[in-house]
Amino acid sequence: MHKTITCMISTMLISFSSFAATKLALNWKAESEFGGFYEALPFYKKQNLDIEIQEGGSGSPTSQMLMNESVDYAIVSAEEVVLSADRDAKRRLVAVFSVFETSPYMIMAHEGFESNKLSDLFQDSKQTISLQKGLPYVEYLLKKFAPIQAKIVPYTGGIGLFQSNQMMAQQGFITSEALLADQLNLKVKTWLVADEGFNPYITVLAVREDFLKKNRASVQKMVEATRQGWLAYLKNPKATNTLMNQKNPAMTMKMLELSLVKMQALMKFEPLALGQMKSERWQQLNKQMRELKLIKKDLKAEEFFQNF
Amino acid sequence: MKSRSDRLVIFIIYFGFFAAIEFLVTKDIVSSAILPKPSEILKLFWLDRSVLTTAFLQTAFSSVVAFILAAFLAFALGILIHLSDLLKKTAMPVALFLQTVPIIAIAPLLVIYFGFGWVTTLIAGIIVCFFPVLISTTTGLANTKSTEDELLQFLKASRLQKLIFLQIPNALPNILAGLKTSAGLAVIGVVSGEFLVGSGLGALIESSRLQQRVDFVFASLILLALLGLILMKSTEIIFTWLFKKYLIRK
Repeated sequence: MHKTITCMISTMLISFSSFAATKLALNWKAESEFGGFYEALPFYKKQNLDIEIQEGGSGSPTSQMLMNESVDYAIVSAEEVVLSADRDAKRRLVAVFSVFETSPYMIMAHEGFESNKLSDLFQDSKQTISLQKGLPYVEYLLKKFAPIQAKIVPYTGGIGLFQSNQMMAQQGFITSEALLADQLNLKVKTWLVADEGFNPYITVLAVREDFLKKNRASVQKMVEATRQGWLAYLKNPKATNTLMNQKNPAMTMKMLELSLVKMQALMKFEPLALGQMKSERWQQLNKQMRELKLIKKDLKAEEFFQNF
Repeated sequence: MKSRSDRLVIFIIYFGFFAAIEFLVTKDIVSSAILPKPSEILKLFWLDRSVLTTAFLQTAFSSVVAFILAAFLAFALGILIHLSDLLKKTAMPVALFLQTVPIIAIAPLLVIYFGFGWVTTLIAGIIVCFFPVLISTTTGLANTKSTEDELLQFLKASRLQKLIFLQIPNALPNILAGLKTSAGLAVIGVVSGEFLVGSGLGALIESSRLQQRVDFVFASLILLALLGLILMKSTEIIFTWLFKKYLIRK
């Protein structure tokens, strides 16, 4: 009886301690693009930060979770930071660290597609392109290549439909879907959306502006520990990859390794430090999203991010 | 008189609820990016009426067609199952499978089999609303009173005569209950299909969510609820009008 009560109290205490931890919400399951955050867990502890990483899933609304104060740190995209400022300026988000310097958004077609230009893909009436309308980069491409001859269908996730249809192209991440196609021995052509002129920061660590104002020192520690985590992960990812593989078995060790190789090419921040962002990139994104009529307000680039 | 006072109380409760939301968002206690003001949603219904009407009509049309097809198919299969034990043993596990597996898990497969078109949306709707009519039909047909059954046996009625003149009329109240459940479910199935196929209110909810337009999401949800209610109520009215004498007799 005593044991049962002790066990129940321990469980409750663990639960309460879990509530006390500061939450970092991911917008997807454990995979390479979050490797540095998992690697940073001991660095957070060294900085006296009690961080609990919460995995996300399909459509995890991490930006709204931040705005709603459900979490204090979350992984979002730069577009979500801009949208948050437009939708509710008082609870807007501030980006404090970016994993990708170059956006990994890409369009992928089968190698049989003859042209090397993405514009030709959108003008080919025989091609079907699977895109998730509403995503800013998709809206950008649809506007850039209008009028479009290819058939546009919704994106359903994964590469199942792409695999079964030689005349199908789709959206994705160069670090994920393109690798998956490679693993299935599919010969593909890929185009980075960044090369087409839309290059937002991706896998961005963000906080609420009011949280940043009140906890500036703590956020700075968080960013520094995160940077240390990423540097350590890039140097030796094996232990963290094993941990992420246990959390998300769909990502095999080989996939995690290959994904990291692809990521490294998109993580060249020099002369800035790893994770730091440029004002002109935010300005450009703000302008593009206004042109796409996704936002109404014209905000200053400096309001979107803070480098540490 | 009592019903009028009840209505007033209900109205006050709802009015108070929406007024509270309006107050909380206006005073910025709750973010408008998370919960839109009811007045903003009303404004949206007017300002973006063309987008909302187009999406509503697409979903409504698919839901009505899916519901009618499912109702007829389920009713026909219900009769066949009632007549054949072998068919019952064969078809019921499949029907149960389709009922228990969430449509959200089946929908991506439907896209692979039927492509990005209206057919996928329709089939998603049919799968979800098929089962209640099937079960209500088989249950209703089996619920024949023994005295009436004995009377028809005495009159040497054939199996078909017994089915048409006794069992189906007896089953009508059950079938109506099944149809009303299915009407609401048809909307759920169709919207699940639309999320993947990219049409109607389902696609509008998905793209609005990605652009943090919660006002559009709420407006679409209100339209979906309205559509479900219209379908359920009109089913009840039409069915009761068609089979009034059997339903009253029951």
